[in-house]
Amino acid sequence: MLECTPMRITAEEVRITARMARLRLEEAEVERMTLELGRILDYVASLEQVDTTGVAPLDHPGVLTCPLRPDEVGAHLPQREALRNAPLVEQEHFAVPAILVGLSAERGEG
Amino acid sequence: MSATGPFEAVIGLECHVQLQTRSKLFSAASTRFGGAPNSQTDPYTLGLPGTLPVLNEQAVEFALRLGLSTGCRIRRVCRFARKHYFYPDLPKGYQISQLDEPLCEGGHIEFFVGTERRRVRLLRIHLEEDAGKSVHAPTGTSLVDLNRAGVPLVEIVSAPELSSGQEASEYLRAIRRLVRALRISDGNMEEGSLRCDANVSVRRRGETALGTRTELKNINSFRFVQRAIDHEVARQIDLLSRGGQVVQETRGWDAERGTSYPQRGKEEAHDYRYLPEPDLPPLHIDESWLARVRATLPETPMARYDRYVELGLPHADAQLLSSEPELGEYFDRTLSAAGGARAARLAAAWIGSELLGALHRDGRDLPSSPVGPEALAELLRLILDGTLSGKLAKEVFARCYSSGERPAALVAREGLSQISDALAIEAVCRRVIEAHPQQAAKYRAGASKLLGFFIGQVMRETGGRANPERVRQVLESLLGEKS
Repeated sequence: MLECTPMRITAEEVRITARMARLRLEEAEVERMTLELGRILDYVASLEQVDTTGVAPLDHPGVLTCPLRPDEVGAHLPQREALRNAPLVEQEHFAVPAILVGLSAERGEG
Repeated sequence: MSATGPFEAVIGLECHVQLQTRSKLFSAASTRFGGAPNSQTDPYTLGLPGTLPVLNEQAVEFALRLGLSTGCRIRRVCRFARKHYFYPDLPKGYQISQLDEPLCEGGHIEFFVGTERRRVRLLRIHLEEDAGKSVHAPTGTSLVDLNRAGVPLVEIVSAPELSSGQEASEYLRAIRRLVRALRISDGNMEEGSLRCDANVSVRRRGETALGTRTELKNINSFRFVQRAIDHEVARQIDLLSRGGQVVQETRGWDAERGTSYPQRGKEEAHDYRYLPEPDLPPLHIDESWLARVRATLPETPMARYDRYVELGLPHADAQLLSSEPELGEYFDRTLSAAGGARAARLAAAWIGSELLGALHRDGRDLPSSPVGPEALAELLRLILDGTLSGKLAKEVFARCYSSGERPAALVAREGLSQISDALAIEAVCRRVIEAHPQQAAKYRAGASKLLGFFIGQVMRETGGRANPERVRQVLESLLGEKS
């Protein structure tokens, strides 16, 4: 078992990360997560001891280049199937609580 | 004095263009627009567990076409990245995009602002997948349609080198023309296949550092681009002039009110937590693929424009004919059938006025024109060889347009050809002068305005087919010789 180096990750960083992941953590959970995530980071940090000077980063073991497929239309899920897991269906759509009050119908999000 | 006074605006645009592939970027669902909601999905589109992306070769090829024709450097190895954010129209919880090693870098877009040629540099062009579409129901819910989720996009990022709403709108039009000419997108803003965000800042003239910028979203029509940007520039200048400061934020454009409103500030700015896409190995673009794309690259609108100017066309005609590939192809075909460069100006004028005028009046498009390029060329040849006067040619055009008959056949059948034969014209002129001795005497006594009367009579006698210039010459000499 690796010893935990203090401050590998702060409680505040855990809170921010949780907020970005839309996770609601109780204070006790923040404490536990800080400790546990710190241990994981410590473990990964052991890689820093290896000298990688001159070694190219390895993105994907085994696969050298991105496979391509021809531009052909395949099978679709029937609409009923596609909507089967929707919490609520309205007018053939996934219905969700209203998004961003004040934002017009469509975003230009890229 | 410029409208922005001691300030200048610095604008950069990010354009998203939907590529017109048949299937999505990473799965085989259809990209067709207008289908029943959520009818064009598959397990990958829905972000169901266990699915993996497989890259669409055609989408890459379309992006390469764009990159090559804008002079970009093409990366021989590029990578995909995950961009995370939570939104109901993004089922996977991340969008596959490109970050550090995009497909294309550098390059430029050229366009005209009035008659001035501008060149704006591009920072990058990369591939990414579109999100689904959400609409807001009056019931207070948001409705999500995932047909659009996964449709291939290219994002085109310009350098901050635009300086007004007008320039930005011309730049955007140039992008639309370009992607249509390259046949990689329909560039339809109404249907969302071309969308645009603008980064806007202002600074005092002479300053080199950029001012604080705001990002304008939702400006999805050519008209709004100009208005939204000019509005934002004016807002920032007003703020700075009164000693205030621009706050870095994202603002939405409200087209109905003609104003913008803050959407999200810097403190809430997204941390997208980019990471290299583990499901896709690096994409390799080999030389033979690039050579193949280069060899089949369609002519760009600007190259077409230059070619037309070299043929002697005025700026406005060259610009019009290079604005849509169909228009340029129609012109090229007309020209080659009409005997080449000598017909260029005439062909451009006829297409620009008579042909497009008639099509516009009837709400028809060029491919369904009753007068095809070969028929128009026939008409132009009849004008060039003096068979038809301009006036007669218009009449022949109108009749061919409504009947679909070929001009040469119509002219032969109805004997419409212009009378240029000097002897034939002279005979008619003599008859007319003899029939109006009083007017002839007055003319000879100095009432030279009466020449118009005689020309009119001759034209009437010939059913408008006499060459008016010849008639004038003959009448002048006949009326002159007996004095």
